[in-house]
Amino acid sequence: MNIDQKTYDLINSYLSGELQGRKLDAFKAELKTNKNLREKLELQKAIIAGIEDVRLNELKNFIKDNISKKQNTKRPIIKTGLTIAASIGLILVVFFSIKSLINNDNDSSYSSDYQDSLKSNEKTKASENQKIYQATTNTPTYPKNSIDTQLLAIAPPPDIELSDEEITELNKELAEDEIIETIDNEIADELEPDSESYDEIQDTLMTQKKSIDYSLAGIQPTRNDSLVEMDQLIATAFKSVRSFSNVEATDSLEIVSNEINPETTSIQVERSREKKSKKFTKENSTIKLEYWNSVVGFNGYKYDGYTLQLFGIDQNEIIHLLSLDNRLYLKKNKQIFSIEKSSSAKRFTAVTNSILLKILHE
Amino acid sequence: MFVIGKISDELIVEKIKSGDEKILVYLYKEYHSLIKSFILKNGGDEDIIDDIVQDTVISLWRNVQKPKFLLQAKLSTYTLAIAKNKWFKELKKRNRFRRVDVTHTKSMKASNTTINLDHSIIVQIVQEMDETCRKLLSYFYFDGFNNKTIAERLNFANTNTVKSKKYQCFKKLQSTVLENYQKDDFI
Repeated sequence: MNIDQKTYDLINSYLSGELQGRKLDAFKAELKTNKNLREKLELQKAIIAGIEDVRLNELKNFIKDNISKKQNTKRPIIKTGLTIAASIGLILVVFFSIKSLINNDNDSSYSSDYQDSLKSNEKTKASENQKIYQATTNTPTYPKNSIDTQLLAIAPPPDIELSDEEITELNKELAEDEIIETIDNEIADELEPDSESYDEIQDTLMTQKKSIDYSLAGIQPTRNDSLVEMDQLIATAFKSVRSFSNVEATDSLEIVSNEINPETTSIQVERSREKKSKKFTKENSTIKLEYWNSVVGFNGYKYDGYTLQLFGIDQNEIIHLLSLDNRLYLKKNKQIFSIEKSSSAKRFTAVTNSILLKILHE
Repeated sequence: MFVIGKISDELIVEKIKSGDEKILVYLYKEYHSLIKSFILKNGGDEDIIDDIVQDTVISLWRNVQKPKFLLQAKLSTYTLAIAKNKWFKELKKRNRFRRVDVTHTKSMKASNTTINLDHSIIVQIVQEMDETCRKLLSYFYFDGFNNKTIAERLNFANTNTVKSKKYQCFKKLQSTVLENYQKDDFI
């Protein structure tokens, strides 16, 4: 059953409705008489129906696929959006959690903040009493009855151990720093020195002083309850050393005030009196004296050629520094001790040489 | 196809005539709610909606390709009219008021012939035929593209090529169909 192109086109025209008029009548008449043409027409209709069915399914699948693709692409977008939103929320929560922790831990900014407040106080002295008090009271101190035992266990921490030179320099600077004196005096005026509040203020000021010390030395301060077991500087003074040959030098300095905070550098050194003997020849030099309270009850000294650190000697005791043949001696209560340069602390060694004692006692 | 806002009826018709199949997706989405609303108000259910919308859009596609097509109303009104006919036809099926549609009879037996052709076999043969031929015959018989459009879509040199190629493809398909039937099927 081969079909020629003319018949094929004629059947197509008939099926599509393009065949009209006489041609249509002629074709219908031919169909009635020509069985072969009828078979060809039926076969062609059947094949066209198959072609249409295939194409219909093809287009339906095309629509379905594109609709489902767009629906599928929306879901990931929504999911991605939700994921991003959840991530941002989580990051924010973590961020603020960390931020609050950082803010609570004032150790890093503690000294600088307080130093800033001190500087502002220096500039506006008239109205800073309130501020100083606030700064004092807002400072995170650790009362003795709430000491962190874990921190005590590690005391003294290595990062707060100051070398002797650092302590010396710090105290030089602090001694010259009038801000501290201002704080001491103003707080002393501001607060009633009743027993409890007085102790609290002292503790607070001690804490602040340490913080300032560390900040000046560029050392990161640590929590002050870890400093409990450190040696404490009680007072600082400058004392003249009299060379002693045929001369007796009894120049003395008396430490007068250290009433509120003996550890601070607000040591008002007052040259109260000077006794000068007619026998002395000349005043050699001045040595810085530091009175330290040893936590282990150590009695002795440490001398680096410039600063004499005394342990176990009350700052109110009258002492004399004597020099003989470039050697330094400390006289206290008619006892004379030799002072030697050393990088480590030494115990007081009394001079026993009678000739030497005689010269020095003269 | 990225569509922002609505496409005008004229542009839709133009795209259909040019054979841009992506417009079918737009039409499906555009008229889905309209057709759905009509079907649900007229005793329909959710299950049949997608099929009716698909058939409606494809019918619109085919109607626009007809030479006599003239859009005298809004395209939405025209499309809804198609959907109504589809739905009423479906309702008649459900009510068993069926009429035999000769052109879509799955198992077709001509009254005056003894040819008994299995529609599924023909469909399978069409699906397996050469792609260019399948497209060419599909564009001509189903989509109703004119020879010029077919030539453009299939990169043929001219319309005469389309005519000759169309005949060759159909002849080949017919031969394949006949080979799958016994000679006894034909008198």
